[in-house]
Amino acid sequence: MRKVMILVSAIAIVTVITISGVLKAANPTTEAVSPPKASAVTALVQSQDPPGTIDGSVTPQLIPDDVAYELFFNFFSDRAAGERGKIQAYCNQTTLASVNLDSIFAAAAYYQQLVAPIDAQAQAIRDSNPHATPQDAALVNAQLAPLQAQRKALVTAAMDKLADFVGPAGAVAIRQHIDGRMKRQIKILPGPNMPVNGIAPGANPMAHH
Amino acid sequence: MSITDYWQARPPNHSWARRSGLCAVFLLVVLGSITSAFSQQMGSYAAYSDSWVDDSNPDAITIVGTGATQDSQNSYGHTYWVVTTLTSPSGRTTTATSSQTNGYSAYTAVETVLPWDWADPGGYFTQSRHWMCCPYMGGNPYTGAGCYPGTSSSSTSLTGISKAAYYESGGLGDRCTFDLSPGCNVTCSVNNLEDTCDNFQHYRTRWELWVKPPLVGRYCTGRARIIRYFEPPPCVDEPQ
Repeated sequence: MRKVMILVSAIAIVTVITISGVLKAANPTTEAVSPPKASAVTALVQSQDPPGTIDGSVTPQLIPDDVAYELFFNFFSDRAAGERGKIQAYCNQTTLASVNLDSIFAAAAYYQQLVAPIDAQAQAIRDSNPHATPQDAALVNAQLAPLQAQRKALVTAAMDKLADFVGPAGAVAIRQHIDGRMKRQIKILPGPNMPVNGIAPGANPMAHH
Repeated sequence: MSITDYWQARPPNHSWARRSGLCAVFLLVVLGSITSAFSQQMGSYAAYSDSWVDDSNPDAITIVGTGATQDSQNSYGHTYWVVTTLTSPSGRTTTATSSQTNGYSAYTAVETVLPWDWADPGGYFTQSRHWMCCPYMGGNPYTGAGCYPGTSSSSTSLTGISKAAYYESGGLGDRCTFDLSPGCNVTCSVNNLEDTCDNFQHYRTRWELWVKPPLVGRYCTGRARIIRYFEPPPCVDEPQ
């Protein structure tokens, strides 16, 4: 009987600790600073990353390829002609030095072209939802799940197609750049936890839609 | 039968253990359900910083710091922006803020630059604060209320100067040739250079900017300045 009591007590303690932790995570202390004020931030601060963060400087092998390649494509996308020298300088200081810059621009444009339709479709689904409650969010997520899978497949296709743009040696150079440099400067952050009671007081989730 | 005999003869009865075990499993299942209901995680996003030397304009070399936030599946309508600060070894700083984005495929980035200063070599530190607003948590990107920096990312560009020593080796008219001093071995140098002759200053030092990015070792930018000397100048890499 005593063992049962101990077991139940232990479970109760774990339950209390877990729930209080979850509630705390769902309502993290926020630093309310408007964007203009944020621009004045010059102090070098160290953030405390939430549990579940993948820090590429520590475990670069845990940064997913699709995330890193998308950052790579986005970095080279939509560059103005006047930025060419600056981007070439960047490449010269990396393993991309021998890769033709126009080919990289073309590969980035191809990636954007691939994902644009599915992004537009997903955007429409998301915007058509009232975003009023966590249940709405769950519903939207369910609707978006197949699109998310399709999008991931497209990113993989863009990665596989890279050699067609930059040649096999260029694709290897890009892989080295992503694995050896980019992934070490990437963090993957888990999103916040959905509040228990839905939207927090004063929230206006559609304000920016 | 004595009590002792009874306990010794009694077949092992694990029913209490079975019951409490089942009870524990049940409680854990309930606990798990409650926890998952409370802690529905709203996606994930990537934070990135990088930096490099932009030597494309020899008359306006700059250090570039960039920060980016990417959420390719922004189902929850989060708004993102990034504030990037670049700091030189001597403490010069510059800060820039990106535009805000809350698109389904959200990507926002910003670049900020510091002019290169020959008196300010060393590590240029880029730090980005990645801000987000979650509509389900009361975040309002217009007022900033309920928005918070989710994390910071960083990057360092190590810059340096090769200071190579040269002596006058010949000349034609007012143009003189200078050769690299024997034994002068720095990261970036040329074997000889030309400069206007000077009757009093027969030595030259050539300073060339280099940068040490990851993977590729020291990269000589080719961007250099030449300084006249009365006596043999030092031959050194700064930092070593």
